[in-house]
Amino acid sequence: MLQPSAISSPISMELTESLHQTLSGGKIWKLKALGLTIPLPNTARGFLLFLLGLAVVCGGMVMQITLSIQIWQTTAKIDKLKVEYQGIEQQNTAIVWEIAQASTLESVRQRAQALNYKVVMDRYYMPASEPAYVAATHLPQNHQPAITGSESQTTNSVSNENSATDPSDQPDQMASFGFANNLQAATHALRQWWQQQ
Amino acid sequence: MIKPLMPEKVEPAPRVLGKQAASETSEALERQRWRMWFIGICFGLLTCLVVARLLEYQIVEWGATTVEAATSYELAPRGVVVDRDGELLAADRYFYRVSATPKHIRTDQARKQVADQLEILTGLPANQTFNLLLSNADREFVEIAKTITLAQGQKLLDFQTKERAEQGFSSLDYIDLTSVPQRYYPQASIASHLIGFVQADGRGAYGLEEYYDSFLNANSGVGLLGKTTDTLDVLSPAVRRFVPSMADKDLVLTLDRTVQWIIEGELRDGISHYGAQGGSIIVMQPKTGAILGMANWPDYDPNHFGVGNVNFERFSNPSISALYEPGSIFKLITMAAALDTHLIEPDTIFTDTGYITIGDRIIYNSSRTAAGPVTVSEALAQSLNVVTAQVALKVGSEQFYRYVRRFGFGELTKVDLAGELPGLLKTPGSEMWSQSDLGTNSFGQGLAVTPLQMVSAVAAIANGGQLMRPYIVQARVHDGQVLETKPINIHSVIKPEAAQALTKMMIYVVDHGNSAANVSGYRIAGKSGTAQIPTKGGYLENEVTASFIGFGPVEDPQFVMLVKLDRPDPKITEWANFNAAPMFAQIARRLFDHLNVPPDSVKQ
Repeated sequence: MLQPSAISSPISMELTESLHQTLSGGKIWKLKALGLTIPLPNTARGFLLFLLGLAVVCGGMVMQITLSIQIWQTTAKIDKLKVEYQGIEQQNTAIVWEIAQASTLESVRQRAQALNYKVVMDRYYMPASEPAYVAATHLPQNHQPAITGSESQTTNSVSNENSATDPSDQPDQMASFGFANNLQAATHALRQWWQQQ
Repeated sequence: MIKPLMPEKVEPAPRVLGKQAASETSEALERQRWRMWFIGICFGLLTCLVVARLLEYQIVEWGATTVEAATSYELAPRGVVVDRDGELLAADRYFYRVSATPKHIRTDQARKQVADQLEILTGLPANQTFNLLLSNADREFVEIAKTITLAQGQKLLDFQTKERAEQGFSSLDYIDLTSVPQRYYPQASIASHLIGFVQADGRGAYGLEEYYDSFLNANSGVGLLGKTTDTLDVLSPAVRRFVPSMADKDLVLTLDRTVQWIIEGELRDGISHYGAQGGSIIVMQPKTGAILGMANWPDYDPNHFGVGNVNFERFSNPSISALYEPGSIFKLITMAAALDTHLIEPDTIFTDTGYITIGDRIIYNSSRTAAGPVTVSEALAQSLNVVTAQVALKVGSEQFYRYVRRFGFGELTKVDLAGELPGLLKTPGSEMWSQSDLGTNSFGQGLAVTPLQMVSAVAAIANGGQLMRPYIVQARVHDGQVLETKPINIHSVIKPEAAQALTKMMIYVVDHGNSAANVSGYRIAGKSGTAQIPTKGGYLENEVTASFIGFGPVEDPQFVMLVKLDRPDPKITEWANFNAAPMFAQIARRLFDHLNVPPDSVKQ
């Protein structure tokens, strides 16, 4: 059987001697024992490779720790943002509540009533080509500002006091209508001329 | 003990060589020691660095990663409910609940300090808080305020955070805030029966809240998996104002808030005007089965459902759960069966003798007169029970009840609302049925239906004989996906020709019988019914259910509507022709306006 003592080498002998002394003396025993258990490479190249390997292992460990910390930090940040988001959402619900309160049909009705609008029960149909001021003449003389049940319908069928129920307003309106048309036509012609130039 | 490694007998090496070797060994050892130190220092520093960083994150920056907010929900948030135009019908609003751990607030001085501070920050009365803390001094938990506003709660949270940052603790450390969602219904009583409400424990009760309880609950896990969905783009911008919500589980209804507003207002006015005890109005699209409006009176405000003496009967939806004898409007079903089997035509003549005996029962007209020879259309317009019974006899009991079943009576319509009842229908073969039932059933007596069943059946006539399943939810929204409800065609009840012939008869009814239901400019098809109310002891005297059902405009029906009044005052008028029919006309006129339906003359 091969015994450690069978290796005939002056180094091993010296080492053994040294170890023996150390064991009895015990000053740098630990370091030497480690050197014996895990001997470092003797050559510079070997040592560099050893260092490189060790650096890779330790680098991996450091990277693992760093990434864990980063994940942990990011998770905490996400949690914080989630809380902020929920806070904003909760505040939004308060805003939505206010919007909903202000836009109930009952509140719309009350506002319309305060503005002296009334419910329209009949519509007046007219050709699409007929201008708005002509339509106004179709309305009954006692026509009042009107509302209907909904906001959307209010915009569709409401005619307020400015919609010329008074016939005396009509000539002025017709004049202004004609002037507006002429102005629009002149502007259009001018723009075309400018583009040609 | 370590055994010496040197053998007992070793041949000694030459002396010179031994010295050189010793010197080399010493150098090697020195070099090794240096390397060990180098490695030790390098990696020791690295370890210190890592440990230092860990300490920094774990101890120094610990506070930065803890989240300071009241985020725990005892009640799960619920999605919003909006109408077809995106108008909000039900939503959550958030409050904070304030609670304390009185056990850790030991001295009166500490209690006073907490109470005073709470009063400054939230306006909660200091005396009340102090007394609560004192009387529950040995308890782990006491609720100080059920709800404070978000702004008040935020002030309190900010105060706690500031104190903790400055001195490491807060004087309000044992005060907790919990975020609590609270359901509210901005339209108050509008569509209350249809929507239902949410109980204190967070569960939905009645209507949509109950039917879609699992879906609306944000924590339930019920979603739209396995279904064909669309993206949010299919929703109109108006709907997307409030959808998707924080809970991300929302319902878009077929309901039109304005239609609902109109019919509720008209129902209230009608009930008040005709002295009725209650009533219902349903408006439905015949082509799809989409419900545009469903009003009932008396109603309730779901925001305050538990206030005062709670009468649970008030909460159930009469449109789907209150059974009633439909009366003469059911004659439409009898006529439909006879027309579809080609046993009659609208101008087929029958002789009204004033009474008819079927089984053990004599059936009279409501007027107790005989009209003589009349066409079926005239009989329908005059609402002659005798002629209708004759038609039913001609159809035969087997065919008659087959049609009644096919129209959906005696079974659930499967509308997506909680609490629906199937109605009561005796059919040949059951012990309770007798031949006389055929006669009475033919004009809507001796059977019980729900208003929605009646609307659904007449919608089939308006829809060329195709029975559609009524529905109220247009789309479900979850996780960026939209699941739209596709209209379901249950089956064909009668042939299109029969439906067309019956529609003509119904137009005749409105033109000659129920002229109060006419709307100027539009052709309306309909039928009124005044039905006595049955009790265990027989039919009640002078107590009726008056109803009118119809659709319009006939050429392209936009809605089917049932107007039903319970027990109108006989001193005013109990006849549907004079109460329900004019109400129908009034509502129909407003609906035509709202739905932008031009008069027939404009369309031609």
